Amino acid sequence: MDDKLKAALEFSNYRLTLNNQKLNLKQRMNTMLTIGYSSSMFTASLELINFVQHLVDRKVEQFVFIDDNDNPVLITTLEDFHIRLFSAYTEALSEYYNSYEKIKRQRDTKGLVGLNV
Amino acid sequence: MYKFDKGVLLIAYNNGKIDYEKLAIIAAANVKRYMKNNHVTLLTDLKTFNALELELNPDQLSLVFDHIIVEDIQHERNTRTHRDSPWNEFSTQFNNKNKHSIFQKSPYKQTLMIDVDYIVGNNSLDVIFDTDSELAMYKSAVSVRNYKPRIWEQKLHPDGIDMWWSTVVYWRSDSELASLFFGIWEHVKENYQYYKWLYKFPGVLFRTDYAASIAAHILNGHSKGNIVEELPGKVMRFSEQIDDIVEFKQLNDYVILCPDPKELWKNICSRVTNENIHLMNKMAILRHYHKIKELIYE
Repeated sequence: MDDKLKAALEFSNYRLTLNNQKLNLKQRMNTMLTIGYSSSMFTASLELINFVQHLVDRKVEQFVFIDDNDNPVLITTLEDFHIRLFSAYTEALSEYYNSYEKIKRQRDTKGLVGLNV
Repeated sequence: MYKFDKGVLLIAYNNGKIDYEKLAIIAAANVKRYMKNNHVTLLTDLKTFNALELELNPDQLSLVFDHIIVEDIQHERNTRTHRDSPWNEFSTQFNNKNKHSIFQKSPYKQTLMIDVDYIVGNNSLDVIFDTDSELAMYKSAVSVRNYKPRIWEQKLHPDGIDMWWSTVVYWRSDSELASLFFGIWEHVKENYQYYKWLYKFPGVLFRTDYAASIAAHILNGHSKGNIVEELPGKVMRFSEQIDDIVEFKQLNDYVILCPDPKELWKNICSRVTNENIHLMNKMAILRHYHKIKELIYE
């Protein structure tokens, strides 16, 4: 096979694997964003984190939120709720960032998935 | 019957071709290592229990299982064709027709039932135990190649109802809803040909996913709804039967060879770390059993 074509095909495989690994890391991050709070489940999205912060800033004491299963839930401890959401988001994003930094330095397909064959 | 508060239930019945007792050991060990609510009960039959006792000594057994229920059971005939990579296929008995009875048999007030080919790699499922949820399963799934499932694993018919995966089921024993759900599941099983005609799904294999999906649809008033809630993360990751496992690095870190389902000769490797994965190719897991056992008892 022509060397240029071989290199191009190897690069194509590398990019396909890199994209797949990136999606795997993103799926892992999404899993980490789920928290249990007030007997319900919530996803720590930027929108929810900022909205709860806004309520805290306005000194609102309690508020009704829609949980991950579309149930309305009254939360009376907004500051604590914000801490939990923010912490889950930070942890998930940090893991995503650190793992992505590791894989993006890899220059071949084997390195991306840690194969020693 | 005395019930423990919270725990994980596994079911293993050997069928002569697949060593379900080994899969149960792996599934239980991963629950022990990665989950907080990790009291594990194994529901099994005498033949499988005997194989388990040959496989592990009493100390090793008690490290992975807290409670074992051995049933005297006659399995109903149900033949399933499995794939082991794109190039190998085999048929074997699939002992799943009594799965609905876990509602009565579970020794927990709050049960998380997981199939033995569902390999836990993190603690995300712990969240469900701290919610008010009475019944929860996964409806969405994404493969380790980051593809959606085939259409027959998204819906019972392309124009039909959503499919819910019976791979992971959570329920509360005091829930009337859960009791109704498992009751309808049994009813669907007993009238499977009728429901197959009604919901227009293919195949001759009794699929618990389909029976559970029909039960959810009926309980929702024969319409869409969220009477069955979604488990934490909302998406079940899975590896197809055509996939093969290249290497287990840790109990929750492995490399999988994934052919493209439409062009089987096109493979990529996918490394999954810290995730819960439904590894459908059971033979691929068993090929790495000795390495996994070392990782469990190291």
